[in-house]
Amino acid sequence: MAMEVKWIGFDFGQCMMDPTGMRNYLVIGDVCKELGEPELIDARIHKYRVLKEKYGNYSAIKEGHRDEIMSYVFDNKDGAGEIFSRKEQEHLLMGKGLEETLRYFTDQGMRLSVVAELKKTLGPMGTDIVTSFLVSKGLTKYFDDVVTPQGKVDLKDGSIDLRYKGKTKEAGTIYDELALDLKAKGIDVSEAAMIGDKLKTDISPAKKRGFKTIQYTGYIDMGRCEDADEKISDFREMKKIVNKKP
Amino acid sequence: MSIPLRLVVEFNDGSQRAIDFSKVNVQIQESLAALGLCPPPITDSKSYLLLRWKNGWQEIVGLDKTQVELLRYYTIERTEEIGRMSLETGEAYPALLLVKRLPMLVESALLTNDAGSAMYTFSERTTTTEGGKTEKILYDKKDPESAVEDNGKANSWILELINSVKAELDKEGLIAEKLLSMGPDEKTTVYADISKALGIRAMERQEDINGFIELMLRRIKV
Repeated sequence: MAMEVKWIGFDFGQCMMDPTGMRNYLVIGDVCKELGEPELIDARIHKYRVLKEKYGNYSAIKEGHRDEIMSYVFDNKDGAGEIFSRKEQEHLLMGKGLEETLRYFTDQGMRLSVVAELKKTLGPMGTDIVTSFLVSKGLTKYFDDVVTPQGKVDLKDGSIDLRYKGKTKEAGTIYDELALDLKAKGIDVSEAAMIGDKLKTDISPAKKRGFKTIQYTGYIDMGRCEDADEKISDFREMKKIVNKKP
Repeated sequence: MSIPLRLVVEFNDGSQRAIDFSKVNVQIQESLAALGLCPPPITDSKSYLLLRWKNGWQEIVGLDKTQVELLRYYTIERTEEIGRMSLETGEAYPALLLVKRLPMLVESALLTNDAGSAMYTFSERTTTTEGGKTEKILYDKKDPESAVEDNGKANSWILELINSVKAELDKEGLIAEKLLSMGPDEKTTVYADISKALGIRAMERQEDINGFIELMLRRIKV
């Protein structure tokens, strides 16, 4: 039986945003070519891979050591930072069937939010990886807000609600705040669903607080989880399993 | 091969400059060795990593570090899409160009030099799978459906490029003859602006951008 909800929260990284297209040769290669230094592509890709070995994964580099991408990989070359950020956005893809599904649910009057584990302090709209992705892919019109541990960004006016500051998905505190926030809008937590790929941050803590949960396996399949009510690999599958509660 | 003592550069006026070979850095020694001019340098690394395969094959890697410890070793298995473009050059072997950037999205190619231009368009013709390899043919000279485009298309592409270069020259208050006669540093700066305006980047060597723009400037001059 399909789940009936009034609100859906979408995880960002490796769920709405699919990094498959962001290959080193494309991003680092394009930056070097735009800087007029195609001869340095291989050496810089090598340095970027060395950085990955230092910090474990590319997300960790981008979230916490972006300055080193510029200093170590690009030798502080003027303009590299701006081109790198632009190329990152250009090569990021949307999860399978995402926009079609967002359009379907907004047409039904469903309330939609992005719920992301953003570590970087929020600046103006479009300056962090989440809102810049939404802007560049034309997705802001589908969402009311972006909920992050740095605050909730209202996508209509860009204002930031700091009640969410310091609350995280992994600790579940972000879902506690969301439950209160939704209740104030007349939506009970049982009428809300969270979709994401990571069991520890998107599924289990949300389920424990009464949210309905959908595990997305379109990019990474983290395996079976009892806390996931449904499992999908393409966002379009949501149309069959989620209905708007009247 | 005997041990090199001096590196000599001979100029067209008969003069020479030379230095002790021991002062030539390792990279240059390696380049000279690759040209067959001297034996490869013997580098003295601080540590060595010897790898042994299950079938007994062994390889050595020198590391210029004293304190070394293995952090992790892993493999990555992923389908890579690489374009291979072979070009008939009138020589014994064709030239082979690797297209690493989104090869399936390359739509067309313009081949041009002082003698003329030709344009080719790409679309998926045939797909063959052999074991784990999939080959998609986008152009094949032997396939009648892969015919080179008529001259008109190449000419209109060239004209479009020439017009863009002319527009950029107007902006900079220059004419083709004057730009061609400028010094290398000055020219390179202007060429960078022109290439930006044209939206053309060098695939492997930045000097290719400069050469291509000079070709367009010669066309304008004519």
